[in-house]
Amino acid sequence: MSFLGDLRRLPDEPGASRYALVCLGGLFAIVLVLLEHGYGSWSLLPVLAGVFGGLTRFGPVLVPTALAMLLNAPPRLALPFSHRSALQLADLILGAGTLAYVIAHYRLQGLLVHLFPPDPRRRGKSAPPRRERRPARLATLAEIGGMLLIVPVLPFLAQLVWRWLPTTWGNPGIRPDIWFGILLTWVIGLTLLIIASAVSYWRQRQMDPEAARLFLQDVLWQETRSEQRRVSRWLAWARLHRSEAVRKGYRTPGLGPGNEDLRHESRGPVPFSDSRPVASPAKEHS
Amino acid sequence: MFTSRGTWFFVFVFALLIGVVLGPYLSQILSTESRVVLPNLTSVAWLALTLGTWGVGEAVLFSLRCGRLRRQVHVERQLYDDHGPVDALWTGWTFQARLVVRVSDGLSFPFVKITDRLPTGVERAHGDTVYQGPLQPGQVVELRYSLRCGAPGKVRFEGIRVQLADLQGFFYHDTFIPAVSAVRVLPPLADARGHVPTIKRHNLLLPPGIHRHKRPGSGSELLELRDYLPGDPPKTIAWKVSARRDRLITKEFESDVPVRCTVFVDRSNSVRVGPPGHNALSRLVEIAAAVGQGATSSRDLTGLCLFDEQATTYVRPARGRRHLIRLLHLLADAACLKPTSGRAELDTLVPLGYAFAQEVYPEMLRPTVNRLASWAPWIWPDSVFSTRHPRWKDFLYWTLPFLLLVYGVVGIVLLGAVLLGVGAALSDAIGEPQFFLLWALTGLVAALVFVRLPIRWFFTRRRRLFHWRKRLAALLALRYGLGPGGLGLLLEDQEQLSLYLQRFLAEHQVSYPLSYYDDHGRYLLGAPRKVKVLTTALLRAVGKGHDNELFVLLADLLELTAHLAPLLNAVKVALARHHRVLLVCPWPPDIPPPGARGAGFRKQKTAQDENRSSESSLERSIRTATAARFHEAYEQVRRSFSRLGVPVVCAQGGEPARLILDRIDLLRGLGRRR
Repeated sequence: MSFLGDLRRLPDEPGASRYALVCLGGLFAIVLVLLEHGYGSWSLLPVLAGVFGGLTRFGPVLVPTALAMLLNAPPRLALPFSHRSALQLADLILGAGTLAYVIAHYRLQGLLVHLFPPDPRRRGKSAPPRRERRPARLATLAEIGGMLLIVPVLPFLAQLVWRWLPTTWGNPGIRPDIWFGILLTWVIGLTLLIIASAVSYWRQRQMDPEAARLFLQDVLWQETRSEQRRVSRWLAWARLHRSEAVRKGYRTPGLGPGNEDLRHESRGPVPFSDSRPVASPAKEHS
Repeated sequence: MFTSRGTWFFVFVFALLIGVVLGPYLSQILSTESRVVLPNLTSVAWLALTLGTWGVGEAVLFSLRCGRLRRQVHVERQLYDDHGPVDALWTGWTFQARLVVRVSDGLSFPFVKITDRLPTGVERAHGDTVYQGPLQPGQVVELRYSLRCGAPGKVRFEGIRVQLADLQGFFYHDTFIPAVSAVRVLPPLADARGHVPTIKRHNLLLPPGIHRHKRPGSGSELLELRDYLPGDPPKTIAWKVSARRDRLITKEFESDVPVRCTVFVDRSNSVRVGPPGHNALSRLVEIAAAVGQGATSSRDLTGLCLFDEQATTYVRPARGRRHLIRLLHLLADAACLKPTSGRAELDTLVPLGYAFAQEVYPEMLRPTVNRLASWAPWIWPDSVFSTRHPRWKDFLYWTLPFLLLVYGVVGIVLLGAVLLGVGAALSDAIGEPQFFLLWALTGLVAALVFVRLPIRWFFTRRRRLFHWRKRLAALLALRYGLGPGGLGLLLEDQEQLSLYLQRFLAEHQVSYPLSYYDDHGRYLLGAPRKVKVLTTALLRAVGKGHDNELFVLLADLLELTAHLAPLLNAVKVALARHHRVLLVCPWPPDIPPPGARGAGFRKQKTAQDENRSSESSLERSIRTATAARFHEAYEQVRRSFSRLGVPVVCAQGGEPARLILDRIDLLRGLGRRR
């Protein structure tokens, strides 16, 4: 079923319709800002993108794209956005509206399409993969309220970060806009690297003992894999040839501590028995 | 961790940032004007940063939640019936399960799906095993459902599966929180005649030896009246009769002598074959349990001897509820055993084991703790020297590094030739940008095909199996404490890995396919050694027998007709000591039992025929030949034992439990005639 088909269930799902309203609210905020800046009928472009995207799964991509294109190819009468001061209310509203639309649309997809990805093990089977959605009853007003609280905060943070970014720091003489691009790449890359390393370290600290033992065993194997492979291959070869010799009657398995498997092989397979003791231990005769 | 939705979102944000950085230059390249102004690029940058900050924040939060999930969630499971908590289940009865999930202090989880993993052989009757919703610190989630077990044995509850996602569906984490509890499923309850009870028959505990043994004794049933003899206890004087006859008359009572019965149950590999609850062992366990319960309800003494190819577990005949429960526990333990032939194809075992480990031990298979370089299967293929009977495919895979080298050299030569050819074909256009673009494009496509081809066609399945084997070997080496070299050894020694994998699957009650025949076509599960084990056990039981006793052999001897001599001698010894012996042969469920007739059998046969309508003629012929072979073997066994006067019955047909209980009565009758 397509996303359009899923949308038909919207009236029956009160939680989902709340998110649909948030999407519309976000688009409305964008239109207001664009109208104020004289974009006229072009202000409806993000709305059209949003509505079209809302009927498909591409809304969160189409709306920011349409907005970015419209902002940088404005109609003649449009007023430019001013970026001189630290806090730009129009940009703040624009960012908040877009963010609200994006979050709400993705959550709507989680309610109507699927939240968990399809099981990769069932890929290619004749039956279609089972889509696991989030029950719409769980989308409460409190959850939407929490989302709306962070919506204005993030654009504000983004503006602050942009203002604090060094533009000409350490420039060896490269064109300023190119140097700024390089700096931006480095700052974002380093920030992500530090965050990822910190989280990864923290995750390792949270490991349970079994997983930690496995990790150490794996490190040992990675470090000595060539030696282990060579030694183990010889051991396997020797065991194989000994057991073949025993099977053909050329030699006896012996009574050494390492020959249990050979003795078992010579008299049949080893039955598996549960090692858990029974409530009243019975006598074992072997 | 990232879903495709999340991946595409971050790709989009990254593209937006790239657009901010490279936008002016791209627009200059694409535009004819000398200078292009993008007036609101900063707004786009803010927008991208807003979306990116939100996405990264969500990712960090989700990662923290994943790290804390296993530490914060605690699971308890309780099984109970109408009277309270239980330690064991009964076949065919419905029990209640209560699963409590507690969340300790820490982070909250916006959306989780908790699924209680039901073990194999357990059927959910009512209730729900799934919870969906948020988890807050301090929250307690309770799941209640009823379950029913269809076959005796053991069920193992592994734990719960927890799926965690953020509300947008950008990230997904699937883990398993272990809460292992192995519970015995005892065989179904049966009455004194070996039937499952439908009505309540007795309100009082019966006296010892309910069967009447018509000899004078100390029982409670009147046998006869006779004249008083000096020495008779005064309490036996029948005063009313004495007064009527005017002389002292004494009452004589019947003798109450319990009969001893020892059941020998075969738990060897040959009877374990088949799905749980539908194999020969399950039927043997049902019969033994019915006999035990029937004899116990008559307060007779029942013993049990479980035997296989290696050892026996012997319980001396006794009576009482505690003894019966002990027998049922032992039978339940026997019923859950899985077969092993010592040989199993790794190609079938590894995917099965890996799929199970992915479900129950996902944390142990994650690349962070259990990784294998993607190039390893190319450089370190399996050695043919440590394979028992390598096939030509094994030899071919073993030469993979050499093949790869040859392929690389040939491919580079061909690639160079293609590029040179394209260059020569377009020699007139050399120096023009279009030529360079076409030339580079051709080179890129050829290089992609050159790299992609071996990945797609060179031993795809074997390389995947190599990855799975390494991860499973690491898990098994850790689980069974094989030490620092265990992982390497299991990777190289395929037979050891096969054995450990079988053990791993058997412990978790997972059925797996087996090789029944060796490379020379010999049946691997016959196990002639078990005849010796059974003989020894029977002789020991005869040695400890008190009076005329019944020995019931529930043993699969159909494949061992040539090795029966020691057992027949032991049976002769038992008969010479005035004991009685009965042999019950287990029978595969899908083969018609010997002498099967009647409407029930015809109905069953028709149903089986309908199921097999898709069989090829070869399969039908093999099935017919197998059935004929089984019938012939059964006749041979029956003849061998009938010569000694030992009745042989088939476990699948009739009611063997009832027959055994009738034999106990008959044994009592023999005592009377003696």
